[in-house]
Amino acid sequence: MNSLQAVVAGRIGALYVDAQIDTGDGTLVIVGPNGAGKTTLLLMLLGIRRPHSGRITVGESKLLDTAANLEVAVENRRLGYVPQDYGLFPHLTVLENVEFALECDSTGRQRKSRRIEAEAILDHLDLMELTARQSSELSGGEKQKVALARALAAKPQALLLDEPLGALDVAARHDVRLFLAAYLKKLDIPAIVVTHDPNEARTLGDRLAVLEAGRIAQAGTWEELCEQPATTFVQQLVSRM
Amino acid sequence: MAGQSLLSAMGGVLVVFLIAPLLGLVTATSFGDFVARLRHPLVWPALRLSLITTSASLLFVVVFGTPLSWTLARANGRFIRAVEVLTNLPAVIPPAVAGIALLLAFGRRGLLAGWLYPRGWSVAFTTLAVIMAEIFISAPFFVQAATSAFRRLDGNCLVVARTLGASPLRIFFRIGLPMATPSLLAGAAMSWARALGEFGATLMFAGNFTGKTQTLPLAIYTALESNLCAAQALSLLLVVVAFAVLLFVRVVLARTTADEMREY
Repeated sequence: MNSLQAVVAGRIGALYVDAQIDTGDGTLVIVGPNGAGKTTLLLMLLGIRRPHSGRITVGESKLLDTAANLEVAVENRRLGYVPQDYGLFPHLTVLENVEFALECDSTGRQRKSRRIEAEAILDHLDLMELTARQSSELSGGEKQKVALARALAAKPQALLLDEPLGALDVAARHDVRLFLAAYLKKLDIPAIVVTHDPNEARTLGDRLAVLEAGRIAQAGTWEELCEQPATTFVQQLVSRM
Repeated sequence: MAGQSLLSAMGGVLVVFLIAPLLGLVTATSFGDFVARLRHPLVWPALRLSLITTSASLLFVVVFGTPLSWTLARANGRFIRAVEVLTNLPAVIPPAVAGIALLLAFGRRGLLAGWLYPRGWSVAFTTLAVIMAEIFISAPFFVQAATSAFRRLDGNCLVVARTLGASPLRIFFRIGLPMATPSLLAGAAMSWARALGEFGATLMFAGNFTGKTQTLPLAIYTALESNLCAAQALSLLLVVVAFAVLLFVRVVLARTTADEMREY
């Protein structure tokens, strides 16, 4: 599996983000308090926000290298993104949401073949019963799965999830967390999950990077963080479990 | 409690003032008279011209105003803000001033006369001038509504569409436009209603020639001098149309709001 590696620095509003991350061979959870710059960091990786300087690679593919004046456009980075509120297109059905992702790959396929593939992707996530529904008719957990299906339909080289359980009620959170943890384990592309919740950080990530005030305070496995917490926040984070 | 009654009573004064002229219009004419008076020779050419010119101006405003609004909503910077203010300006300047401005731009001695007239493109005092006056006056109503509708769109949807590899045109046509359609329809209806009622700029820039530049409001003005009853009937017709437009806008927007509420 390729890994997503990034070194980015840049000011967004009042916050200066200066971070180095590496997903390694699996899922990296970026955890930190509100306002630490977690979402900003994701938007920099996606190319929505532009860092002053940095380098982003997924395996051999370079997405950004400010030193070499290289910047791949958002549309061509092939990074799957699931925002906190899922960003499902409200005027499209579940099936059409996934078909939209397939439309964008510009291979000029027929509508019928796109539909068959979209159905296969939805079937894989046990969503076939929902194909005709609008996003307003879905539960939080269902929205999450549809957004995931749509992101994966575009065959991304990495997957970025922003607070994937943040919009769910407490009852749904447990089940969706278990589903997501199992799903991410099976995934053959690197993933980054942003969260502020230690419980989610521990279950979803192979490795963690703790972001505080725009900087990575500590990175490592959950066990490594527990053994030698580098800051007070990390100490509090691991002790809350 | 007494305080609330006072506030309601003060509000009531304005309601009475606003409704009285409309009541005057409605009660002055029986339905039979209304239909008979609409047979006045001024009415049909004016109605026909109004429908043609407002359809043309609406088409122009929507076709060019929608991309403009999308750009205004998505871009930042001083230049864009300046463009936004300038495109809203015709909504607040007096229509008579707009008429003079149009003459000074497109008239026989206007800014563009040296370019237009040698080519045989005489604009002022033609049906085209009516359409241009209507576009000038009504476009801001659509652009304002469309810009704020595009600004209200869920930014995450647009970001996700980009990460999926969608081109700017695909995002505009497949995501932005359908998501904003109800508000765009409401804006188009308000803009059309404003064009239908356009009087001052049309009179100054296009004149008042039956069948050529005499729209419904100009026909009312003309009829007022000769046949008050026909003017009444025409006015009532415009009030009914305006009421229908308002009703349409409210229904369309109420449905959107309900949809947005269901999302949460």
